[in-house]
Amino acid sequence: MRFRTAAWFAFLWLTLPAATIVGQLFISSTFPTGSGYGLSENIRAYGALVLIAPIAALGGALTAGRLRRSSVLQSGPHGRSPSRVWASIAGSPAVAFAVLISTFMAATAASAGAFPLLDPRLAAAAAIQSLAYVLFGLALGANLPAVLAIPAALVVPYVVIAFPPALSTYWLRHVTGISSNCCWIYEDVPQRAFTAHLAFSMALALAAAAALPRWNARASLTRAALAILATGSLVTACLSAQIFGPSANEPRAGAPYCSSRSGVELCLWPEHEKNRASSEQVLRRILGEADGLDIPNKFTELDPGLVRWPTTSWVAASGDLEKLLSGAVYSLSPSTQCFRQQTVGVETAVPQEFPDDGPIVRAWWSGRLGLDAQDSLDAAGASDDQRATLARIESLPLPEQKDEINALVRRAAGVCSGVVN
Amino acid sequence: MPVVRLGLGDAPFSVLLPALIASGVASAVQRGLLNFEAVAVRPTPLLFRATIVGVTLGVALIVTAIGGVPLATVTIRNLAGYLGAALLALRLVGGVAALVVAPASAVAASVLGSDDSIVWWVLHPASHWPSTAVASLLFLVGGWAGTSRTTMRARAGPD
Repeated sequence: MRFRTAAWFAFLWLTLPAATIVGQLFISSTFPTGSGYGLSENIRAYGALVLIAPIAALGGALTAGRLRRSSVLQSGPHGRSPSRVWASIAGSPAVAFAVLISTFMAATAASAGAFPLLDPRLAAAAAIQSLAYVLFGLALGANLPAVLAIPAALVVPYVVIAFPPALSTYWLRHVTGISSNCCWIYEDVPQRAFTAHLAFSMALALAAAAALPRWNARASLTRAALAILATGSLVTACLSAQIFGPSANEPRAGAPYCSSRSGVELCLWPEHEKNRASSEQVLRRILGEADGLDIPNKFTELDPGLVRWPTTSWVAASGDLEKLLSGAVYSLSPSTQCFRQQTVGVETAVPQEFPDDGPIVRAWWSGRLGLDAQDSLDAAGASDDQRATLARIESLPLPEQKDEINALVRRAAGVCSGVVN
Repeated sequence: MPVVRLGLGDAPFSVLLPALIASGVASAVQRGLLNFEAVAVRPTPLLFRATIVGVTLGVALIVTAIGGVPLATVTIRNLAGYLGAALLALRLVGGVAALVVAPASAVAASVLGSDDSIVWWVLHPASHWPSTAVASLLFLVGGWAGTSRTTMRARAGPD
């Protein structure tokens, strides 16, 4: 059997089906983000690396272990450069694992109805990670006895990928993986986070390549060069990620597309354009109830932290009218933060448990829009006082009800510098 | 969003460390002149089994000293189960499988597992008796089959 053929058989056909199964198990054990945003679905599938990387490394360790036991690495396959031999062994499985992860990412996005199907930056990261862990496994198998190489090949990649997110050194998680906190539809992964992750993957691949057995005259020189490059990559990764906290997300480039067909401006990201008609239907219903009420003049899917009254946030992740109505209730009143600041004063630290008027306004709107006001109060954990206030308002004639609600909204929006939701 | 279910805490001791020890023991019982041991007059299987029980008890003492009785109970249960699984794999499949099965189980349970299924017995608390039963069964069956003279002859290969 040819050298390359033997390597291919041991490596790929034994480990790729296993990787496919566990990857699919992983993805099916996580929940779709429901945002229709391709990047967040891609990152959900990219998390399967925590199981696929150990299998890739195991395949490498098994293959290199066979070569080690056959003494072919000690005697050296004369006439071939070690780099070419290792490239021929590692190349095809690395490509296969990269394709597998990319397929998972695209399939996950497609099944969630999200687009774009595959983020090219994540596809690149998957390719380098695959190569890195295949080389890591090869280095283990070629240098250590099976009793050490095989458990290490399974456990070390898992520890490297899974443990940093559990550590309080937050930036480390952006080095060893892409943060699973990414992303709401208005967010993106910063280029710097990708740089850190890619540089770390490259460092791992280079370090593993440096540790592979070599039998030519330039072996020491090659090892030294690879080790220096690995160190440089690792330093780059650490320096790039050091500025990040638990979440590295940044605002997404571009802006949602706005239209005023419903009588009020509605701005949606392209992924949610398919839900525009439903959103407009809900907005028309709101406008039908809004005579004499202060309501926002613009509903947008921009980062809620960036929008200011009378602009408000809107979520069109679903085309379901019931869900849109439930979400709209939150868009029709200033945020809980605004209500609390209005109640206790802007300069005062806002206690989370402090009762505010927000649940009253949202419950009132729920009632007007045909939803259950009591459910809304229950969901907010409303106090008896808040329930009594709502009951008092609802007992008034409708124009006076609207005056009361307007007064609550204006106080909150004014004191809170107009920041909503 | 993907959430790896196993955090830090005691998990490295109770789930991962026993798997590594089990791999080491599974490798150790494959070493030596097994074709001679398989026909030796002295009770080699009994010595192997005594060694395995000794390793388990030794780890129990060390983990008890480090982490106390609750951690040691889970660790020893998991070690016993892993050992049984590894030795059973040695008997049924072969040497590489014996090295793979324990760490692969640990990683799979850590990522995919939940405490609502007996499949993920390694994640259950010490008081969960079905997990203890599974681990004990694996330990008894695997410990018996993996150290038998039949297994030694199979691992020794043709003379």
